[in-house]
Amino acid sequence: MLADRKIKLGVAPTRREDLNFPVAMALAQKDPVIQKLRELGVDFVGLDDVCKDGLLVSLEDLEAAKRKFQAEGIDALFIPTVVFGAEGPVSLLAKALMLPTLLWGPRDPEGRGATGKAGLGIYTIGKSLRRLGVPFTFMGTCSVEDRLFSEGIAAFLAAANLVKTIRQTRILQVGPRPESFWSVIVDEGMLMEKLGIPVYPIALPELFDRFTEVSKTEVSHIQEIVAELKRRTIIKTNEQIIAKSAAMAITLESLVKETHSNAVAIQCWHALPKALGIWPCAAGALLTEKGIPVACEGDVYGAVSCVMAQAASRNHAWPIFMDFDGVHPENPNAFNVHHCAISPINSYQHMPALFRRVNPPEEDWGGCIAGELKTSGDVSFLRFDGDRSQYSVLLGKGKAVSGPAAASGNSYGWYEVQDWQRLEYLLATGPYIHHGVIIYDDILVPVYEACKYLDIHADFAFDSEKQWAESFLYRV
Amino acid sequence: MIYPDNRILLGLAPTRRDDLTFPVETALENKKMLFAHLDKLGIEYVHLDDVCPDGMLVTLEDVAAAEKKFRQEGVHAVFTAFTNFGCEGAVSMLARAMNLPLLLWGPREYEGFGYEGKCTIGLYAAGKDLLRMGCVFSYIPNCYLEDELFERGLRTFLAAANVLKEFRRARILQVGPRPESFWSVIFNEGELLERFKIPVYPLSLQELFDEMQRVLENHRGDVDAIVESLRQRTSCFVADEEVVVKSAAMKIALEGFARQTQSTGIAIQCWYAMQKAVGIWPCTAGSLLTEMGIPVACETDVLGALSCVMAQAATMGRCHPFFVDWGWRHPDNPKALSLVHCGITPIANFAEMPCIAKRRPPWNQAWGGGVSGLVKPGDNMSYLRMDSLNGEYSVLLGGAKSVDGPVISPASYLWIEVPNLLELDYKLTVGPYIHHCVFVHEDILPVMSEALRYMAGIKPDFVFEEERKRAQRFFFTD
Repeated sequence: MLADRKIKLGVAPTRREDLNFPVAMALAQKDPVIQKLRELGVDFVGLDDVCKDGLLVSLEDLEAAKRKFQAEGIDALFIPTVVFGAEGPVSLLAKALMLPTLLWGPRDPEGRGATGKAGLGIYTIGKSLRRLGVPFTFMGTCSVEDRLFSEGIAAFLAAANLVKTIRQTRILQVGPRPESFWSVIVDEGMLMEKLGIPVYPIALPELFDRFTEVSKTEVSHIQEIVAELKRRTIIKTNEQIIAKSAAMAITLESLVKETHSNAVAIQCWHALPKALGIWPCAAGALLTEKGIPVACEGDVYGAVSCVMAQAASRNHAWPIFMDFDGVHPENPNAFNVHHCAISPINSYQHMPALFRRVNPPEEDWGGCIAGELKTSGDVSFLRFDGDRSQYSVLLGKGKAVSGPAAASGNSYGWYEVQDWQRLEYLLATGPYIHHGVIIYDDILVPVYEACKYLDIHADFAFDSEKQWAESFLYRV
Repeated sequence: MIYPDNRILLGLAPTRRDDLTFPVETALENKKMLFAHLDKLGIEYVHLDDVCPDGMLVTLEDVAAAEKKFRQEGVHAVFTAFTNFGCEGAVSMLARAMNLPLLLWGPREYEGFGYEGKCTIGLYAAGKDLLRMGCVFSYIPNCYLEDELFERGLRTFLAAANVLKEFRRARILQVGPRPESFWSVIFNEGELLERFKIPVYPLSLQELFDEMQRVLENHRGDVDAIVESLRQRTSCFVADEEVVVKSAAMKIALEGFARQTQSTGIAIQCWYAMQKAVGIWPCTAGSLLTEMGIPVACETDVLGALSCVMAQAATMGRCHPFFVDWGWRHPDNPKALSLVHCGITPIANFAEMPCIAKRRPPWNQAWGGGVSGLVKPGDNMSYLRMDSLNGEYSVLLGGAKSVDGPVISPASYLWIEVPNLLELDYKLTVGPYIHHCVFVHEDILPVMSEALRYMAGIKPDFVFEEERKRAQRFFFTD
């Protein structure tokens, strides 16, 4: 597991200034929430030191809360409406911060309104947030002891992590896209305009220069990685290619660090293997495993897809960047993925091989990884793409199964989904392509929630999964 | 064919309303006079004499026959000339079927009693039909064939059609990714394809370098011939001879890739991977290709290359694009500023023989390859820049005249004057434009204004209101 990314939550319990809702009632509702967040290990800051009773009630409280949350650099906002809630201050706070915002109130155990009408407050605040154009997440009213509370908070934090990650994302684009891949065409300006993601382009000769330098100067580091590759893969290629793959991993990582990027899209057809005699797959696999996903074939949107999947899993799982291919010979709802392959070495069922690709047969280009991906476990699939000024994310769930090996000798895996023909239809007609990401985790709810904040269309492959994900945060 | 031929074949469809009130003889006489005048002006056209009765567009059968003929002949624009009231329906149907630039005109009455066929009435009617059909069209206001307005309108229309033709077949060869530090040249590759069907062909720098090497090894004769011609056409090589040799090899390599990918313009990465690998700037190679009709924009400016393609087409190939940075203000003249770049400018664009320069910074390097000197003056220059923001495309347009100013070296440069420098300066900063622009030594504003009417989704954006008015009123200014 990669290091958890910290998400700092700003908690602003709110109360309406109203004689019907005494402060004591509010505090009685607020304390268990704070207590529960501590219990869940959430990293949060409240308003106890800046607002009276730690409650957001007045416009003065709003200013104090804004200052505090901005100073603390919170990543997301949580508004428990402990008694009804102050519609104006809450809405203006959310508008000022424009962060993922979770609206929730404790359930009235008797339903008579004796404990503060949290529900009523939420319905009113929801309307004013809409009027102000503030996207928000609603979690159904419940007791803090309900399963929904802990799972809902976790899903919201994962969504917030995805939003935060995307807003800090920078893609290192190595070389232009391969000419024959029209599918990976990217609108660089639109990526900046709509999502604020800058691309950092470098030319292949610059990569080659750095590679040459690294090969000369980083000998011991190269040897360490060579040893790791020998330990973790079955070597079916020569020493030189292992060393070059190691040097490529160091080269790419140093460029990522220098350019403050967090993911890479690399041109691998065929200028790179012609010049260096390797494919960048093994190097990419090592980087992806370290939390810097690499997408091949210059696929910038593919790199963004990897970043999204990884962030939605809160770094608990690794993105596996693959070609989505045909249907299983026996199982009509299982489909094949394969690539040459840039997926992390830890994603295989058995130790994979470090090998030379079969094609083109006349070239001795190596550096690819082959094996069968894990054959059990729940997975999600995801592809971020866009055209005609609209971004969308294809989303769905599946489970890993076994199936025949890829004819190409490449890495492969098989995944059963609800309806392969539906998925195939979307791959062909959607704004999607043959590239997608598999992740051994359920990331549907966080991605769905995050899409609200990023103005991306969440495009569920299957209606029942859509209904499930949409209702996850409101069904107790 | 990657080089533009700047040829516009006009499909001429004279139209006549088949109505007893309009004598056939008058219509035929009008048609005959029109043919004779077009011949006199040297306009290339195909007509309907062999496919429609009297060579006139009247019935729906005529529409089908005209469409078939025009398609076979591959016309680039259609001219429905009204010989009397004309057939609105047939004109509209043909316009919709062809989806090409369409010109409407009818002759002025010689006697002024409506005897000759009420052309204008028919034109007013047809204009409305065309709008209903969603057809864009150009109109030369009612005038005599011999009027200066007729020829001016016709030539402007043909040049606008040429812009549209070149835009519709434009393909840009993108060599290398953009230089990282140039955020300004970011463009939307997918959007270019979606909106305008313009594909970009990416090529990695390494492939260019490999090809240059192959050219140097296998085509040394061709390389030497270019070097020799450069020796004749430039005042001196300040850069090392080796730089000129490599520039010639790069020109051959780029031309080969442009042919192979059928690209009509090139955007090339020139900061600094190229210099580190092959020791040259691509300016000289780009200058030679631009002169041949395949404009090259530096700093991987794809929209810059597209701007060059448009500007060149607007002049019907009479001018080579002068791709520049907007420079700095003139020391004395408050209305003037410099245009300057390292030197991708065609040799034909210079006032005197330029030299093949060595760029100064970085001082420790001998990287060379720019074509350097003062660009030839012009009283009627135009500038153009296509760019986009949030999915909206626009073209910056304006006019300028050259003035004297201090020498800038090494660079290809020129000092120009505009109506109001501060207004231009403001526009360049807040507009959706950048520091790159294309100049031509001709007034292309009316042509561009007309061409952009046909280019849905791209707005003309004149810096100066009076220039916009002049360009848009060009067709009806006596």
